[in-house]
Amino acid sequence: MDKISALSRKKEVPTYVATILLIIIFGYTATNKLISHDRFQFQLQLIPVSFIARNAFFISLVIPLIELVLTIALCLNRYRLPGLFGATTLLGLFQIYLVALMVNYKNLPCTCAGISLELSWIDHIILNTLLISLSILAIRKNAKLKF
Amino acid sequence: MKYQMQINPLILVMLTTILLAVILTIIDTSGQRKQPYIWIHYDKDGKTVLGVGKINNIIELQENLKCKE
Repeated sequence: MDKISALSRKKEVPTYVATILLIIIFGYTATNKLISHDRFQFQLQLIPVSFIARNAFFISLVIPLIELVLTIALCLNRYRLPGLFGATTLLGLFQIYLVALMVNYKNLPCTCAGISLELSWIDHIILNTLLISLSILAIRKNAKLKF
Repeated sequence: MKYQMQINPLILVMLTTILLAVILTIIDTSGQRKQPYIWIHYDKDGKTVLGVGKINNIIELQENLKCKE
């Protein structure tokens, strides 16, 4: 019996780590982007992709709202799995966007918030890759947590 | 019969993070920000953005431009 509970606890670790990390990252950046909404919108307008620049206002509201919804979903056991899928998709899209812009343009404006402002573009890609891997691992384990 | 309310610790993590973000953003915007100036280098047409960056002061920007030119 003890062996079974120890095994199930081991299975919970990646889910706990991924969930807590994603809650902190999405919660922090979403709040920061909503408070400094004008700055985020301005930074989006500087991105040399016409679709993003033209719809900067809409995107600057939708992205932090999606992040907030995902944060809440990750907190609740019932919606954690869809939350993890959503977080992985959002991180994946961000990764594609980062790589595509890095390959095609120089001197890109940084649309990040808080601590991540200090990161270089390469650091962003590394952090993103780690988070995506952790989320995929958590989805694969799909452990049911107590909360 | 006693009822004990259980608070989801993950919700506590979320609320703490949001509160921290609010406090840090207020501190960050109320005081002196690092690199308060944003420079944009436009093409001749005045529409195409060639480069964007942040800088501490105008003198630094002029020096940077001289180096680049």
